[in-house]
Amino acid sequence: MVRKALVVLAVVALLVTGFYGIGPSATASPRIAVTINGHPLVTDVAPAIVNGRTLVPFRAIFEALGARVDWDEATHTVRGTRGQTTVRLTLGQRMAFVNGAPMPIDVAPQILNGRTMVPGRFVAETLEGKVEWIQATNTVAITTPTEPAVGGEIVFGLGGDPTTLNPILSTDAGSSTVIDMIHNGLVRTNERLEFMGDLAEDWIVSPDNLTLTFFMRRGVQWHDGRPFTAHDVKFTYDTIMHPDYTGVLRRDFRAVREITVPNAHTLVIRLSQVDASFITKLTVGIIPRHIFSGTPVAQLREHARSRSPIGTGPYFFRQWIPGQFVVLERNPNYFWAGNEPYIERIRYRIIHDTQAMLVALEAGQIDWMGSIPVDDIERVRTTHAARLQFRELRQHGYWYIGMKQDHPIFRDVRVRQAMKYSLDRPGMVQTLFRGYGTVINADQPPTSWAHNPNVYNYPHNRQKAIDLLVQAGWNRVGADGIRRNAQGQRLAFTLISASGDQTRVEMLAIIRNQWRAVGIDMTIELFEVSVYFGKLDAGEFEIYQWGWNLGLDPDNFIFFHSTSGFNAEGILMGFNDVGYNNPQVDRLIEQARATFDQETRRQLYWQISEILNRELPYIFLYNRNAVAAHHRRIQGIVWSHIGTLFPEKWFIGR
Amino acid sequence: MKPNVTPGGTPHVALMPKEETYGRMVWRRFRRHKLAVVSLFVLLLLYGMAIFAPIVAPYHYDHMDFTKSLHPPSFTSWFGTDRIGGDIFSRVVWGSRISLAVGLVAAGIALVIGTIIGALAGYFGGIIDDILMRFTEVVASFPTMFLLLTVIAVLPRSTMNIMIVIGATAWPGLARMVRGQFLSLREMDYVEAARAVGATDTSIVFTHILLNTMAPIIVNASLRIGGAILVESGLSFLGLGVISPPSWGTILNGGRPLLRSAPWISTIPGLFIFVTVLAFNYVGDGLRDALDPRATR
Amino acid sequence: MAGYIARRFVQLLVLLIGISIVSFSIMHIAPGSPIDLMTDRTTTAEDKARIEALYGFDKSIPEQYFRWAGQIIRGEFGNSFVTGEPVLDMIMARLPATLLLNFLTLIIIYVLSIPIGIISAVRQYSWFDHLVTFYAFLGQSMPEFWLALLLLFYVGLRFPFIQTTGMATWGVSIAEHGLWYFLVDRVRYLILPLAVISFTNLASITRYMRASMLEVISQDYVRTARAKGLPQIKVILKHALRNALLPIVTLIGFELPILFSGSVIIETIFSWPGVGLLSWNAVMQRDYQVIMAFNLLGASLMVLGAFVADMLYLVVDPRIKYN
Repeated sequence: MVRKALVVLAVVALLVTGFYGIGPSATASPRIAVTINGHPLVTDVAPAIVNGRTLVPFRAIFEALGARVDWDEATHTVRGTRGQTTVRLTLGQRMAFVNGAPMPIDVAPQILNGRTMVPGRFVAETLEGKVEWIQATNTVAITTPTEPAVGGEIVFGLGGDPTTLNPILSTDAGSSTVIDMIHNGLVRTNERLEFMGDLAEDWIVSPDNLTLTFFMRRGVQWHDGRPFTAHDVKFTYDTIMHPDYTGVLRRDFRAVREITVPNAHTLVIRLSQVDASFITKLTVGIIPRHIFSGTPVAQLREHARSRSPIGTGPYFFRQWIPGQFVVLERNPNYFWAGNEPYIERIRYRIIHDTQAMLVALEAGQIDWMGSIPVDDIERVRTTHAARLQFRELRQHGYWYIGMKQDHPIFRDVRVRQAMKYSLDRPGMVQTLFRGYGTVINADQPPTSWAHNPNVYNYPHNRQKAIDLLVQAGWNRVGADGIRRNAQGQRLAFTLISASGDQTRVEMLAIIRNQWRAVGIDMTIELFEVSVYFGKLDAGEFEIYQWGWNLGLDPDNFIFFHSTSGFNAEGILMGFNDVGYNNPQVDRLIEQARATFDQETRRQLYWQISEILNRELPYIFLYNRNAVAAHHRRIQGIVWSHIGTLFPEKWFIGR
Repeated sequence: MKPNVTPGGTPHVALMPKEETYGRMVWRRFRRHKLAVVSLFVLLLLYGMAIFAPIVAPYHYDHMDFTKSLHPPSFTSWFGTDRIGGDIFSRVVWGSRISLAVGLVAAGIALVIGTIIGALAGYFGGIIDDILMRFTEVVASFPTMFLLLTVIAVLPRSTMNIMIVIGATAWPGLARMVRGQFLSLREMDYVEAARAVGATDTSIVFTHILLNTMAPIIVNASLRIGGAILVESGLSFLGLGVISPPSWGTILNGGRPLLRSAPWISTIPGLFIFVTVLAFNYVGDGLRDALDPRATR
Repeated sequence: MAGYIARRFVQLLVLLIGISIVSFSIMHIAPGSPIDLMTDRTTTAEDKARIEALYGFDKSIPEQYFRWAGQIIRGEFGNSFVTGEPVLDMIMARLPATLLLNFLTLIIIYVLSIPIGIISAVRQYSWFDHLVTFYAFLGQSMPEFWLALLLLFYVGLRFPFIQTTGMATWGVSIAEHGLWYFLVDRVRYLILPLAVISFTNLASITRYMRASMLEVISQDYVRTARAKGLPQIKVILKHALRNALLPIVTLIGFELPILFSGSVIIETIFSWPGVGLLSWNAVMQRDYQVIMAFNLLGASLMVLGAFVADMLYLVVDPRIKYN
């Protein structure tokens, strides 16, 4: 009896440990697969490799590529025609004819297993397809250009319910993803993140840079059919500036003195001070006045239309089933001429767990995942290459360690520099993110036009760190391996951060380890995130770790200007919680804000970056990249280096 | 002969044999449950490992080595390494200290609170019973996670606080059971007799009733230890577990993103949790049989 | 009897008020406010203070409590601070999913554990008993999320029939696709979460049933029946079963609230759109209105469940008297 139970136990143990063997198998099958736009090409005779070229049955490949094909028995010639292109291939001949012009081919068409086989790459490329060889899975992936056509559906994986679909109240990325499909701002950006008109067709700036006049696009309709006017824009901005407004965008409109609407198609914004970053704030979605005007501003969030929005964008809101789906449908009356939305329906499937979302992607339950977990990228990239396309996106922001500038330990710049020298940041990026990230040395990340590539990179140098610490007076090492100064004080402090993120725990473990190696003792305390924010806002910390995602404008007033720190009453006015105070930086920030010329501003931000890089109010760590994956049949996607744009241009290919 | 805990039976407290003989009898009965004995042995081994962790583990739980990131199990590192090159075997050995302690202490706390409240309610009845039982219902009705989160948010996140919180939310079931036992036992003839000869409430509770309730309480407690270890691992899943030194739950959860690319990181602590809780269940089962007078085997 | 019910009812009211005061206080003493997570540190401390004042979070806790209580007395649960949705709508949108999952789990558990428990008891210490004990303990000993993730990877990904996350396919309705298609669709989503919850919870009821049955078959009247030469199966089914089932039936009273409380872990991993995740998020976001509504509903159910269990005892066991 007992023995039986033990046997069962052993079997279970075997089963459980057996999972070890189920990882991604590296054994390559000799079978060649061909996929066309992500769909496997089904052939009765398997594709074969001859002299390094893949041969495929001619009828299958031509038809799959949408070509008409006939076989001339007399001359043993295959003729495929699609649109303006005709290809002629003859059995045993290493010369093909494209529209009558001879083209040499490496391998002649031949009969294998009773089928006439033709070189796949040659045929596909002649018919304007893109061919990719995926070594890991022995797959030839062919993508054909398709004319955009209306129809189809895509399913996005969304990590949680949006909190709201009102553009002026949303703060989370999940909500914004959906909102961007439904709403338009006054302006938008192109692929190079330059600003262009959206609901505004054009705008002019007065010579003193204080008056902006926007001219609205004509004939734009809300999803309920009512006309869009400049009054809607004024209503949106007025709501944001209202004292009862419960969103977070108020700060963006601080410089606004007055907004007027001289006529239904013109909007005039007068600023009280020059603010070069102001235009970037006008990407916020415009909400309809005729829907919300009767509602007290404080109750905007409660309004039913904040959850079933009316916008002007390429997609209508159709349905939101909490915890399950958000469904959008194509807006056939979209105003951008020549850019009608093509995809009939966009469905967001809400999947909370990242690993579960990856499973859904692999199982084909969703077509799009915004960020593949870093440890699975390589595996998914090789095993699903035929079906999925991948895109690496850079984080427009950075992770850092902030130190109270008047702290007895950190007020010495040599200590801050030593702390930075002792960290192997490239090693951290490699270990934590498998290389999907970049080491950062100043506040403007490489994705910004204000990025200064020439700042010092603080290479990992333990000896240099020790030298700096000794110079700063931490010249004795105790029995515990921790440095002490002349007063016998230990070089020890407590770092705070937020709980709930495994990567952060690992990152902090590495940092503690590397600091300990130079004689610095760091204790880590993690708090639940809202508790943590409270501590930062109250200045209750010695040193902390956090990250920023930045806006499109490089303006850094809120982070490093001295008036963004704690005021006389101890209230934090911006996010300068470390209390950085450098009159020269203050001046440069103010100048850069008051200048519209991008080249001049760039010079100013470069100077700021150099100072920050030297003085280190933050230890700049790195930023991490995301790898997005989507099904190959989704085409026409427009990417900037930080995300997708122009959803109205996307379409479903074959 | 041993005290009979079933209602309607005839306990003979005065005739109860010496402690040693009773203990020997229980052990004799317990030994017959082979899996329980094996489990007890496994538990002793695990506790030994926890006590001698600094000797057993080749490395400190905080040890890390960049250059050995994500090595699979091998002869040099038996259970492989994690992302930052920490030795999983060492971490699991150190983690046993936390997980086993969380189990014991949390179950101990639940045992003390549950027994006291159940005993008071069951013995005195009436308004005291009403108040205590409604209080029990309040605690039971509170979403455990809500309570856990709030307490963890207010108090610093320490191993002790997590143990206290788990213990302080796990007692209502026990209190109900003890109350039930007391309700039936206090009407027994021998208790009435003791009362008639002038025994105080305290002495009745301790010498007469509680002793007779011991068996189900012990069984219940042994099961709670395993339960508490599982609750802690659930907390780790929600990011609220014990971080340093790591518990098994923390290591398991830390390997979650790597479950497919480096399965050893979470599979091994998972197996440890599983085997430990299983062992506690079997020991509890064995104890139930051993302490139950009707078991006829 | 009527007096007892009346007394219990008054107690229930006092209890609910007590619970609401306690949970309200804990919630508000806990650091952080809905604003913190709503803004994810994109708002300055100054702006945060302004928004908090708009929502009245700067008032004293008793003042906030009375405002909330007044609102409840008027029958309004209010709107979520985070999403702006009416709280009752939020809960009602999620409750069916949790009810469905937990109801099916209960059925599976009872349907499996009663016969298994009986056989285990009747054939005590047989190989079947040992096997069942082992499997019962097996489920009980695994961290739920570990089992869930393993199933997700090694079962969910292997069988296309199984849908790994969510509750239903969008657009599938009885009207459009017919009942059969609809049911099959539901089953595809139910398999994984149902398997995990049933497996990890099967043990306690099985063990309970086994113990109860063991107790009954050692009773005199069963022995007598057996001594009379009645066939074993008849003794078990006719005499023992009914009595052994009684404690299990009263257990259902206590299971009632469990029906309504979702599991955060299961709902996270399988994205099951139930109340567990909703309430967990509400706690994380300090969405006071939602949490308070939950606590109130949960506590009412719990107290009601206990009350029902007591009543069942009263009906089932005439020896218990209340005065």
